[in-house]
Amino acid sequence: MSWHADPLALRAYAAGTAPDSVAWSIETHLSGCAVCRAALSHHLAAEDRDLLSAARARLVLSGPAVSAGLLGTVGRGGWVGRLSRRPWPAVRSGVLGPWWAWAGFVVVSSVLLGLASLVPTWRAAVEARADGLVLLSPVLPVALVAVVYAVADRGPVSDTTPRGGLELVLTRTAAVLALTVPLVALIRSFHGVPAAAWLLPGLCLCVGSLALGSWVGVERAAIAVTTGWVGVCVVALAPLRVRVSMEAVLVQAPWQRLWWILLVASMLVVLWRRDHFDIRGSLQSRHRRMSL
Amino acid sequence: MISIDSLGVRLGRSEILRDIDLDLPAGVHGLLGPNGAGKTTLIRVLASTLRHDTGSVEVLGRSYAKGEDMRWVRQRLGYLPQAAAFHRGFTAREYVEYIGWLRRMPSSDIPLAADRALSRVDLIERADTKMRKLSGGMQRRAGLAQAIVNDPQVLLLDEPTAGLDPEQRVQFRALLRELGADSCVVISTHLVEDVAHACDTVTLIDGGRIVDRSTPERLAALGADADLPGDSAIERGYTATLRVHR
Amino acid sequence: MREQTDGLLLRRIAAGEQAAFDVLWGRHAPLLLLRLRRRAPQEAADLVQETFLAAWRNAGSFSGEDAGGWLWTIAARRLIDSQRRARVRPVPSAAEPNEVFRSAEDEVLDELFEPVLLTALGTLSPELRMALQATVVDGLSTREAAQLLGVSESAVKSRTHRARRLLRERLAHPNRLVEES
Repeated sequence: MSWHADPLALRAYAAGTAPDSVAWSIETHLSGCAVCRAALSHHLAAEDRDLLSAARARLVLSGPAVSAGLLGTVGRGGWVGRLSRRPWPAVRSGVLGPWWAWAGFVVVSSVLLGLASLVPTWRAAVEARADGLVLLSPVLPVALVAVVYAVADRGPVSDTTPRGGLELVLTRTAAVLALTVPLVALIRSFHGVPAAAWLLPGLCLCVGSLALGSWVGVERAAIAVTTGWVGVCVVALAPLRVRVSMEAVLVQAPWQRLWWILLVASMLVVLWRRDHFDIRGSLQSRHRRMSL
Repeated sequence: MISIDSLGVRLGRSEILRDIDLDLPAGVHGLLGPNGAGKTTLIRVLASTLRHDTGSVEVLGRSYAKGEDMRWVRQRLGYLPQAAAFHRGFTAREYVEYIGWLRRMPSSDIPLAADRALSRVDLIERADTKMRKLSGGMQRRAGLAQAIVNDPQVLLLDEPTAGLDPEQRVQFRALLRELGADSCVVISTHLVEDVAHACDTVTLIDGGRIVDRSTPERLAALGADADLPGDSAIERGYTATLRVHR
Repeated sequence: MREQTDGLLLRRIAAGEQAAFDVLWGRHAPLLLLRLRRRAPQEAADLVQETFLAAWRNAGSFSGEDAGGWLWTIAARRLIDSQRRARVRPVPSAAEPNEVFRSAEDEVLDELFEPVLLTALGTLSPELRMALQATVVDGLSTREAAQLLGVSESAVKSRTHRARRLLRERLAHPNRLVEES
């Protein structure tokens, strides 16, 4: 900075006698100039110096200055530092819920999928091995959606915010997919099962439950779809005479077309009813527990 | 700032609200009426979380008919519902910051704005305590902080003083008057004292209809006769008006 | 500590270091006190305290080199809140601050600093000047300026508009100013 405030002006300002035009110039300049600020301190009247010392002495600096953030990243540059600075911890917590819910889900689903891979079907119309892993994989994203909606913010206030409707739903779903897709792919490849074949039905179940959720609430819809699918799988795995194996439904070509149609249809429904995720058409009970 | 015309809301065959006409400029406006009168419903329609069946709603010059207009208004809205419901793991500060984000505030502004809101409701000392560990009155104050974090132009409060002790209520009303200076504050309540000390106008609602539009002074004047039921002049005026219109 | 930027100081403050806080106080408190005193003489010292307390609590959210603008933003908002509170709960005001005594030296000062702008500004009414100060110098939005001054937003807009127009006219024709004064 090459221009600095005139000492006379600073003296007048410190004395409180500077007219507006001078004062405005000083205030605007000193907001960004450390040199002139230091110069101003020299001109400060004795009473003001005492006033400031007394004020400083009265200040009790209590309470946490600021939380140290993730792994002490307060003040660190780069995107890691930025994401661990407020308000992002609060936003993460509100959008996604507590970390232990996600960690718990990973553990439980890994165990369940592992166990399921040990269960063969009794009857298969198709030659390929059909097992519980193949059947259960597609339901994982929906199940996580149900969990997230159960533990994350569900207050009536979010329905009145611009982000609280479709945007929040999509953000949560994106986070769910970002976790479950690699997770399931990993587990499936670990067991020698084609990694990507579950993706289409999985997405379809997920987006389908969102579409359904625009009528009944995302949490209820996700729970309904999850239990429905698991029920169907249990039936398919039982020693009954099933004419079409579940695995065929998931993998064979004619069925694939159906899944595609369902996926596109669900997306269109979500788009069509995008304003309904935060508005009720009819009154809910006063103490309703689930919001979208 | 708020303009409602022939509003109606139905649930099944019953009409929860009908023929509601209301024009509210800046200031503090009370919605007074007995429980079940439809006050909460009206607040929720204004908060854009409940669809109305007939009539029109215009807030800050935008109609609620279009989605993008509604989202524009929601950025400038504050809402404190009757029943507090929030994510249990939040601290008060985190809750206010999260709502600030939901209201689309620029993220760099949010921490300071949350700090300011918590200071204004006098909760800054306990700002970093978990919500579930705060007393009822403090939770209520945190709720109010969330409602003002974005410096809203329209503030909707549903039974906000329930659960506050008398001293807290006095401070609350002073804060309401502050806010009413440049925003439109609508407070729905069944407590007459709330209205008496904080509101510029009073709208009486009973059975889903607007029964009277008045001011605290006029209601008190109506209740000058000490023979009417009620413990204070304004309460007497209130019960008298309800009676006349039933 | 002398050579450290404000940004570095605030990082240490965020970690809880009181010594860094004292350095920041020394650098910025004088300007804040004087600036606030020109806008709210009674509350200035309290507002400085409130501002620095807020800075202490929110030190982690500062990113930059110089904290002057950031601190002023905090101070301006606390000022607005304080003015709004005062309007609702009027506190009996203490004796008016004494008339500032202008010395001969101050007259000299007037001559030195852009006499045209000075005189032109001086011809504006206090309301117009305060509207300009709030929006231009203090960096407040129209809504915030309205909250600070206790007037409507349209009043703020029309006043700043008028102030700018009058200033432009008077700066363009300073000879007319001399004739008027």
